[in-house]
Amino acid sequence: MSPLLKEYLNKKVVLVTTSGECFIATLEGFDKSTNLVVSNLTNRFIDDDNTESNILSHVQLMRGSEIVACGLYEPTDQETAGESRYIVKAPTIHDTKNRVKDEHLVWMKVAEEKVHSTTKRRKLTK
Amino acid sequence: MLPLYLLTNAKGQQVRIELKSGEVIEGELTNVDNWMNVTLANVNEYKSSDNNAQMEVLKSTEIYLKGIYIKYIKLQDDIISTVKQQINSNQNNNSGNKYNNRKYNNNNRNYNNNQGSGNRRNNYNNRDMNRRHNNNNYQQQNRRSYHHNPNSNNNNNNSNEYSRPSHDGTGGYVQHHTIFNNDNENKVEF
Repeated sequence: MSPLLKEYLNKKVVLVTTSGECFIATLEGFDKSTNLVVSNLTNRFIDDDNTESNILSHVQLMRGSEIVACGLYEPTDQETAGESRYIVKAPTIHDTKNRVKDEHLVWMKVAEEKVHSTTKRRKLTK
Repeated sequence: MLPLYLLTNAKGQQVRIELKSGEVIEGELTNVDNWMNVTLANVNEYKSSDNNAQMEVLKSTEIYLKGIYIKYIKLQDDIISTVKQQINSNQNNNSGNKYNNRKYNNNNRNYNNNQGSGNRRNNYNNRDMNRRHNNNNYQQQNRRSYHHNPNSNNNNNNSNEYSRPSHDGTGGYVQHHTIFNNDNENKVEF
């Protein structure tokens, strides 16, 4: 199977970005860094407030560094049966940034342990 | 349609760029380069992209934005059809042209017009051979260097159809053109 996105040209694709957002759009173009040209970009899932998925942008260029995944859109059974798209409720998609809560405290502790262990060794050798 | 190609053809148009930080920059695109660094004119900067929280932070006449800092670029709605029209009209102009202005010397100049999205474009490879090759399209999948955004006059390919594979043993894609040959010494054969 070709690794190129050529197969997906002018088709509806699902895009996942590094910010954890999920879109559906029509793929118009791509390049080797996965910069994409997409048209009719909409959200993949609907919030409870909206009844319809609005077009977020008609033509957009997405930077390759932002894109996590891109795949062919296949409507779920629910979607095709109910004749309304994007009916699936939004699952939690995290972003790609690995954020640890109170990371500075973790590192402080690491530093402490390090100092602690070196001083211990010195005592033993003495 | 290559993204950078589209962007290069969007010069002069209003664009809306969201940065990795979430800020939004709106302005008229003046220039793009191969790394997607852009210069914009008549710029408005907004702190975030939601319409509620929008605070106009800065207005400037010109701004230079590094490509790596871009999240996405919103273009005008009609840009794709406009660009495709441009391509088609340039093809119609070129297919009837005499090739007087093309100098095929012995320097191997690879005019690498790689448009990867299924469009086969011309790679002008000037070879030192007995006969001159016009319009040898080489599908060079492995030689992706900079996206050479071509002057559309050099694009002789119909963007809607695939070129036929050549049978002259070069392994590339050859497009057949009518040649108005004004050189008496070198006959061009396909």
